[in-house]
Amino acid sequence: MIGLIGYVGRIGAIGGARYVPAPPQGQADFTLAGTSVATAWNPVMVGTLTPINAPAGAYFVLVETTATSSDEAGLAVVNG
Amino acid sequence: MAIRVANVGQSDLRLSSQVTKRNFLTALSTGPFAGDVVGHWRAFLVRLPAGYSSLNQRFAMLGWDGANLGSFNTTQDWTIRIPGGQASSTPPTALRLQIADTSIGTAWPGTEGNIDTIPQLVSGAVYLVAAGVTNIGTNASPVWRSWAAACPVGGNAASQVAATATASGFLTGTTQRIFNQVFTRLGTTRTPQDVALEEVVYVTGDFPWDTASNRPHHAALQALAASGANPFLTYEGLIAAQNAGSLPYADCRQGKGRAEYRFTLRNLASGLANTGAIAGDLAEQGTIGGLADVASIAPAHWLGGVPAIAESFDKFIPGRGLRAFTVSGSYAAGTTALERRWESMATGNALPGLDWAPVDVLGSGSWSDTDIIPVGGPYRLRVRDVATPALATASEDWLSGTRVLLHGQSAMALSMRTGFGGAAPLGPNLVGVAVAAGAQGIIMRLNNMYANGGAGGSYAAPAPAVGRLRSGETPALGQGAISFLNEWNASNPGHPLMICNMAINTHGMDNWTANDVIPDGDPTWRFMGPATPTAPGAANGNDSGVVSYFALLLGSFVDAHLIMWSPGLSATEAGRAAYRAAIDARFGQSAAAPWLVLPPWRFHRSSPDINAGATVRDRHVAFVNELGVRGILGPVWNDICNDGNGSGHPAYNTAVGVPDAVQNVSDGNHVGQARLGLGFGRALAWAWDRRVKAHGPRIVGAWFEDGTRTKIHIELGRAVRTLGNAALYAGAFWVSTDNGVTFVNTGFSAALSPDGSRVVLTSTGAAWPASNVRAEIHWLMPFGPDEMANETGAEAALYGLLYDNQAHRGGINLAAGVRPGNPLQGTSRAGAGSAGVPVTARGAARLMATERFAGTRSVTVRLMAADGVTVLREKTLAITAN
Repeated sequence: MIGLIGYVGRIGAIGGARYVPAPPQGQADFTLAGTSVATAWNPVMVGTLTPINAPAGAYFVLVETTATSSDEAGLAVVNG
Repeated sequence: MAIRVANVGQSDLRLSSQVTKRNFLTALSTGPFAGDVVGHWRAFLVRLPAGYSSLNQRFAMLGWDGANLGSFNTTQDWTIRIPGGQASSTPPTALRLQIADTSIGTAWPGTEGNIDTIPQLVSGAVYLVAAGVTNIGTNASPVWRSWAAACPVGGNAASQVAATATASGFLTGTTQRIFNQVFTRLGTTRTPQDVALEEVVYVTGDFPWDTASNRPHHAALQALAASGANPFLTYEGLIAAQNAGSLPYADCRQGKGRAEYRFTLRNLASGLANTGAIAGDLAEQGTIGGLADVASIAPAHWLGGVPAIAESFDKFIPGRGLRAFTVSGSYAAGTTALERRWESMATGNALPGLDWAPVDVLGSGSWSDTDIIPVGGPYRLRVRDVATPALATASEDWLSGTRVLLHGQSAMALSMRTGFGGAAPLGPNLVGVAVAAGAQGIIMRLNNMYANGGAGGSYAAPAPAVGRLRSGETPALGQGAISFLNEWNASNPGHPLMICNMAINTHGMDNWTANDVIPDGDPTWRFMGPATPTAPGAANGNDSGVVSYFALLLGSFVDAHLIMWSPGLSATEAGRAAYRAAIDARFGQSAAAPWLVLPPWRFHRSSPDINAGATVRDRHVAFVNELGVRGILGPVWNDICNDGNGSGHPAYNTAVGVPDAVQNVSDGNHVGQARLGLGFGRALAWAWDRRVKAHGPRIVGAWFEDGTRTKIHIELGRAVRTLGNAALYAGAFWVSTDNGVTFVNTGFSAALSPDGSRVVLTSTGAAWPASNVRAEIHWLMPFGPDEMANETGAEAALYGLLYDNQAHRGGINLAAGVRPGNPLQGTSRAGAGSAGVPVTARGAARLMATERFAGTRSVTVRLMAADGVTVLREKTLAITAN
């Protein structure tokens, strides 16, 4: 499962909406442009994911909890 | 049973409040009446004990006991009394019926309305006793007669009518107590010990009148008392016939009636309930225990019989536990009240809120009851006579759950069974699949979808064929249907499923919509049939068709439609809309039922036939969109069949050990049917619960690695895998350089990224062009007999495809390590600008919605370092969809 094997720097528990404090100045962060979408039966973009202070090669994944399929949420991440 | 006085003077039966007399001159216009001026009558069955004739009083049976004191000299109050032999006044001097009403003393002999011409009642015999006031004139000019009557069971009626017209004060008074109790416990008129009563009624209306003899019609009295040549009646039957004007008696003024109070008195436990028009039950008053049950005294025709339950052909309650469901049946004359109970067959316990309770509707020999039955089963329905609970019946093995209707042609039809034609509409179970523990379901089809096969090859009317799938059993039913249920049950434990297989091989959707004659069947039998659900004719099929008959059988209701129609889904939007409208017209109770549409990928069919695949898939996706909110796009449906040789087609291998002659390396692929069934069950569960993992990964984007355009990265949105560490099969990927008009699956190699979320295509020749490049997965499935003649090899090649990490869609004869899970799925579209996804320069990372949904869903996104293990940042985001 992506991102779950040997990861470090875990922030909080997986899953469930919660408040995540803003990282200290200069540490990696990201933004999502837009959180609402008109869905359809084909992939539709919700918004772009923009890394902040991220090192080269950084990329995005969805955390999959007990729902091993990201389709459970009808959402997916693409990196390009 | 009846009720008797067990201990004299101890208790009686009373209404909570007395009934006050109405003004008989006031016309009535409710119920059966239409401006009618009518009187009233009352009646009961009675048996007097031995020694009664030696008692010295006029004992009360029915009416009003004079302020609870047993004194009956109150002006114009009503009761019916039967005096003993030593009456305190004369006459009578023997056992007689007496009506107590001082106002009619001028009409009846004696101060209390003695009736001296009715023969004395014999102890030990059972009598129908009746008395009343009847308008024998017209509504405009009423003429009133007071009367009393008695008829021994099986004997001749006797009656006495007042000598003169009834006094006006008696007719118009509205303060008299006219009905209060059964039996009397106080005063000297208290009902003697061992008097037994049964079948009591108080009626507003006029008793049938013999216009020739000027008396209550003896034929009617005798019909109630089980004598005479006319059909025996109960009060209900008599009143119903009166109101219908259908009493067959000579010289009969029929009259009208409405039973206001009706008590069977068949036992103290249930015989005190009023089934009349006015609310109010009897209750035992005084020192409880003065009354007791005794064997019934009523003639047999009063006691009714065992009620009947009309079982539906499937005993399946659709609606997912949310929809009202009506059961019905019949009952015998003499039944006055029925009650029903739904219970679990496993425990015998009543379902919540569904313990014994009166049925909703009872009349004219039929009953019905409507309830919402919770999901589950098997259930038992019990129905019994309230008055005589021993008159009971039960219907077992009812299921409440989800009903799905299957549409399509051979691949759909034969996924649930084996073999063409009507010989085996539901089976057999070639691989011995057992129904999973806790699973319950039904598979149904017509035993003769083609309505042929009659004598001389002529018409034969179809009938429903039903197969019951019970937990733990291995029925001789199609392994596809069993697998369908099992997989459904994995996500919906104990939720029964009814699979209605309406698909017929060979024919396209437009043939159905046009209501064509089914080419393989009888020339009088059609696909669609009338819009009004209609059964097939006895002599020919002209008055029905497949859909119409299915709709009739299913009460025009299904919870969902399931459709995969390859290759015959209508090619036009208008054609698809017309089919949907025709189905909705016949299934009028399910106008909002969703359509789960499964776009098909075909295996083991060679070019050029296989080229139909992308086009047909595109039509399925278009159909989903045309359906609007009713459309649900299901996952890839691997139609591993239809070349006539493919082992996947359950049609072509009809028995274990009899594989197709051409593909003799096959196992007969009995697994094929089961594999399809598994997919159905998972997808249908997902339709209602999006947490179910029915869909495989889907491509969500593609981009060139760099400006050389020699590497294409196809984004899959999640991690995938091959089976058993098999090498990735590059031929599964297709690239178009003309914006999706044509695709090729050669000229590149394919590798899965280390994290399993992308496939990288590396050109083995020139760079791809800068524009009009699109990438797709499984544009075609190149496993036809030409490409892979050895079917076993074709099966093995499937290991190199990409699947998610689920293990639920595998064939049941595959080892656990190689059970496929959900296969990677393409766009399901065809045509320029639609097929596949565009390959562009790499852009920004994006969050994508991959299915249609509404509301808010949370998703946790991580920013990962290049090492693939370091989490740089994580956020849970709420995404709102509309």
